[in-house]
Amino acid sequence: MMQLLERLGVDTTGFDRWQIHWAGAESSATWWAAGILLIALVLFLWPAVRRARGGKAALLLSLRLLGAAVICFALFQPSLRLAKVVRLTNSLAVLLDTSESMNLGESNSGPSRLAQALKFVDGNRRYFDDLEEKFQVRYFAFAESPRLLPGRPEASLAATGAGTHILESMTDALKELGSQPVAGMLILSDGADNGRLRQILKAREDQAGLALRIPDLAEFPAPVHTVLCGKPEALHDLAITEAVHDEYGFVHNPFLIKVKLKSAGRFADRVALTLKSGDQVLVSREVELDLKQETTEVKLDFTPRKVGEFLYTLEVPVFAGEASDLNNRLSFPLRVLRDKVRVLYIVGNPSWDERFLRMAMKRNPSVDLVSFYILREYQDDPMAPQDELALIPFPTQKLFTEELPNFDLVIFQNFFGMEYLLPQYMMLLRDYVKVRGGSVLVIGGIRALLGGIAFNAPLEEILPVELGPDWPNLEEGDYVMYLTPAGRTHPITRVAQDPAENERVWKSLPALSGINRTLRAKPGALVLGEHPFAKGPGGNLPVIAITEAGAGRCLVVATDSTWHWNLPAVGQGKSNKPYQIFWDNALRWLLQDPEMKLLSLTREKGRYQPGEEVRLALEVLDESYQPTDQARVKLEVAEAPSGAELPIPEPTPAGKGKYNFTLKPAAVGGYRLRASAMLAGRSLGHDEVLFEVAEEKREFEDVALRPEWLAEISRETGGKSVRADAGTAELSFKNPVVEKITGTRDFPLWDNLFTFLCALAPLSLEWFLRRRWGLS
Amino acid sequence: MPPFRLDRRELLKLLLASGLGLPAYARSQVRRPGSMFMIPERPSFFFTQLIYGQGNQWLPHPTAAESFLQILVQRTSVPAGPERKDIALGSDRLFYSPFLYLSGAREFAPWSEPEVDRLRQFLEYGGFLLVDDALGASGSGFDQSFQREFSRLFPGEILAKLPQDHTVFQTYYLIDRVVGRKAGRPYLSGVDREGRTVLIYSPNDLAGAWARDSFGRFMHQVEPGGERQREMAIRLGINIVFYALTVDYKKDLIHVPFIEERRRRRVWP
Repeated sequence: MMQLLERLGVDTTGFDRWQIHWAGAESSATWWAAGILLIALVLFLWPAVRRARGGKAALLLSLRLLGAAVICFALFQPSLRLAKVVRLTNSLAVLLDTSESMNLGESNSGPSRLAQALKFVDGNRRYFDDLEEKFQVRYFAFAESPRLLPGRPEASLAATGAGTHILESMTDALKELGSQPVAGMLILSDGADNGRLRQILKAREDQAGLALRIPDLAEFPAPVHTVLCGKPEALHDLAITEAVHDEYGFVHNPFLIKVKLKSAGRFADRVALTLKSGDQVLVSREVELDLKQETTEVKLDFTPRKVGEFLYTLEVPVFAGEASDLNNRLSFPLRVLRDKVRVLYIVGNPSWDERFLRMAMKRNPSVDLVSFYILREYQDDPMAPQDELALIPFPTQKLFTEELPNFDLVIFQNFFGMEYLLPQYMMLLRDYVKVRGGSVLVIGGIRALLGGIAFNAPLEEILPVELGPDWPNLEEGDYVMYLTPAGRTHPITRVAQDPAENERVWKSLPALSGINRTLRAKPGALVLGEHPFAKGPGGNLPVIAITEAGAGRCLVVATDSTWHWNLPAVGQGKSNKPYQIFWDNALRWLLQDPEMKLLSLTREKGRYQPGEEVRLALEVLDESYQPTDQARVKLEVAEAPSGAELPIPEPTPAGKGKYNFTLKPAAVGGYRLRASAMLAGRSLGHDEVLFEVAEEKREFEDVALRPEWLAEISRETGGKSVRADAGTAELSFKNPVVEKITGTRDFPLWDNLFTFLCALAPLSLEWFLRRRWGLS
Repeated sequence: MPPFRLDRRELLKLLLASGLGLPAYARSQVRRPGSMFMIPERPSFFFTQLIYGQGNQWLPHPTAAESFLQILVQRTSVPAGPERKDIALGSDRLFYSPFLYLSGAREFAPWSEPEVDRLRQFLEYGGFLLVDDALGASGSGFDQSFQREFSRLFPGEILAKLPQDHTVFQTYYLIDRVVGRKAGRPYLSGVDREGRTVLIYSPNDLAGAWARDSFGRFMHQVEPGGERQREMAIRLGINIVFYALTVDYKKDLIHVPFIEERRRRRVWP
C-alpha cells in the first residue's frame, strides 16, 4: 500500500503504517442521517418499483441503493491515515523492604531478613541481568514509602524504616515509573505490613466471612511477584500485639482489658502476664499459650482505686533467643473517672426549695443522691406507733465517721446541725473539705448560716462568708439578685454564653424571697451574686459566694428561694432553664469538674521518642474565669522514671493567660507533670498531664512474617509468591510488544469529484430508465 | 445563744387568737418556736385551694384546711402556714403555690381554654394538684365535671389507680387503706409526668374527715370505719403533702430496707 501511495505521488517518508479512518463515524448524527437517507430513498422509489416487473424493478432498486450507499460513504468522511509508530520497552519495579523489622532474624543470632533479601538479589544475578536486559528495571527501597535506588540493592543498605506500608509503596512506585508500560513488580519483604494492607486483612480476619477486596490490588495494572525473606517456622518471639479496652475507666468498677499475645516458636507453654502502674503490680495472671493458634486472647480485669489519668503497662517475660524484646511490653494511658457522683443531701425540713433542687439533681443520671430530711422533730407527735411510720433514724454517726469520705459533695439545706450532730462531726466535715478535697454546699433558710456558736466554728472555717452572732438572721423581703463583676464571668452564674444575654437573663428572673444576713465575704472568697440594696458591715449582702477551702470547695447560697427561678419563672412566661443550668454549673464547680478548672495544662500527644521535644501549654484563669498574665506559675515533675533527670525550663508567656513549656525528657518511661499558679497570694489550683517516653516500636509490635499477606498480593494481581530460598523459576514476567503512535497524516477520500460522480451516476441512470419505461 | 422573745405584737396576736377560738393559728405560732434552740418557724408550705365556679361551690368544707394544717404542724416538721390560701387559675401567684387543692360536691362549668392551658403548664413544670370529691360518691356531679376537665388537661390519658407500692403510701405513715370521710372507692388515682405524680384524685372526701367546728370538734361522721378511718384519712392527707414536698425521697435506697422490714413485721389493724 505504501508503494502504491508513493506511485500516486503521496510522500510517505517517516510513516510506517496506514489505515482507513472514518471521521464521521465518531458522531451519532452521521448514523442517524445515513439511516434516514436510506429509508427516504426506498420510500420514494417504491411506487415506481411496484409498477415495474421482474428485472426492471431489481435494476431500479439496485441503482438507487448504490447511489445512496455512495452518499452514505461520503457522510462517514473516510480518509487514509498514515502513522508513525515507536516500539516501547516495558518497565519493571523491584521493591526491597527496608523497614526495621527486616533487621530481625529467626532468632537474635541468625541472619537478618534484610540479609536474606540481599542474598536473594546477589545469588540470582543472572535472573536480574536477564530482567535488566528485557525490561527497564527500577530498584526501590521501601518502608512507609518507596525510595528510588541508583542501582541494584547493595550490602550497605540499612533497614531503618519506622513502618511497613506495602500497598502504599506499590502505588507510589507505580507513579514513579511514569507513563512507561509496566510489565510487573517484584517485592522482597517479610510481609509484616502495618499500613493499609494490615488494616484490611485484619478486618477480614476479625469479621469472618466478610468479602473485603483490596481495591489497590484489584486495579493494579501488572502482576506482582512476592519473595518472602525469612523462615516463619524458625521465628522465636513472644509479643503483646494488642490491648483492647474502653477509652475511660470508672473508679471502684472492674476494668476489662482484652490482651492479644502472639507466640512464634515453642519456648513456653505458660507465661505470666502482668499489669503494672509504675512499679506497682496491679494484677498478674498465668496464661496458657495456645500453640495451635499463634494468637492467644486473654481477658484481664482490675479495679482502679483512684480518679485521674494513669499510665498502665502490660508485660510478659522475655525469653532467651527471642527475635525482639521490645514487643514484650505494651503501655497505655487511661483516664479513670468517677462512676457516679455521690451526694449527701441533708435537709432541715421539707420545702419547695428542697423539692425543686432534688428534682434538678435527679435529672442528672450520674448523681447518686443519699438524702436525709428531718420530717419529724423531737417535739412532733405523729400519733402513731413506730411501726406505722415510714421514718428511719438519721444515722449521723455512721454517716460522719465512716461514710463521709465516700461522698463527693455534702449539701446542708436550711439545716442547723447542733440539733442533730455531735461537735466532732463538724470537725470531720471541715477536714473532709480541707484535707480530702470534698465539697460542701450550704443553702440558706431560717435554720442555716447561724454564727457565734462554738459548734458551728469548724463549718465557719470553710465557708466563704463570715457569720454574725445574731440569729436567726433571715431577713424577709423580695429582691432581684444582681451579679457582681465576678459573677458576670464565673461559670457558675453563666446561664447564657453571651455575657450581655447572661446579664439580661439574670435581671429578668423572678425575685428571691428572704436572705440570710451574713457579715461579709471572707478574704479569698468570691461573691457572685448580691442583694441589690440590703447591706451588711461588708457591703451588699452576699447571696451566692464561693471559696476554695484547702483541697476542697464550698458554696453558699444565702436564701432558700432559688426555686422561684423555676416554677414561678414559668408562670411569668419565662423559661426555667436558667434554674437548671445554674444548679448544674454549681454542682460541676463543687465537684471540681476539669472543665471548670482555673488551670489547664495540655500536651500535644501521649507518647514521645526519647529526646523528642515535649511542648506543654498552660492556660491560667483568675478566680472570675478571666485569662490572667499576673499569676506566678510553676511546673514540676510529679512522677518520672527512676533516675531520670528532667530540667524544668522557665515558662514562655504567650499572652492572654497562656504559657508554654518545652522539655526534652531522655529516659524512657512515664512522666506526670503538675502545673500550679498563685495569684495575689492565693492558689489557683493545679492541673496535671501524663505522657510516656518510649522507643517507637510499631515495627516490633508484631514481628511475625506474613507469607499469607504476600501471597494475597500476588494472587490478586496474577503474580506468584515464593520464599527467598525457592529460586526464581516462577518469577517470570511477560514482555508484550507495546507500540506507541507518535504522529499521523490523513488523506480524505470523500471530498472529491470522483465520489460526487459515483453518487450522481447511478441516480441519473435510474431516473433516465424510469422515464424511458414510463414508470414516473 | 439569744433567748427566744415574744414581742408585744406577737403576744397580742397570740392572746387575740386564743381568745377568738382560732386554735390552729394560735397553736402553730406557739408550738414551732418551741424547737430545741428556739429558732422561730418560717412557713414555707401553704395549703392553697383553687377557686372556681359560682359562689362557694369550690369550698365544700370551709374549716377543713385549717384543721388539717394544725394537725400537720403538730405531727410533722413541715413549716406550714396556719391558714388556707385561696387562688384562682388566672392569678399571678398561682405558680408560687406548688401545692393546689381542688374540691367540690357538684358539677361545675368548664374552665376556659387559657385556664386549662395554665393548669397543665403548672403541673408539667413542677406543680401538684390534689383533687377531692367532697360527695365521696361515684358519679357525682363534681366527679363528672372533673373527669371532663381532666380529659381536656391531659387528652388521651386516663386517671390511673396508684399502685400499693406508690411512694405516697410511705412518705410519712405506712398506709395500706385509702379512705376519707367515705370509703366506697379504696384507691387514689393519678397521672405522672417524668416519674412524678403531678395530680392525685381522692374519691372519698378526704377533707370531710378533717373538717372541725369552731370548738374543735370534727364536723362529719366518718363511715363506715369511724374514728380509726378518720385517723387514716388524716394520715393520707399528711402523706400526700409529704409526697408533694419530697416526691420520691422515700424510694431512695437507704429507706427501702427499713420500710420493707416494717411492712413485713406490721400487724395491720
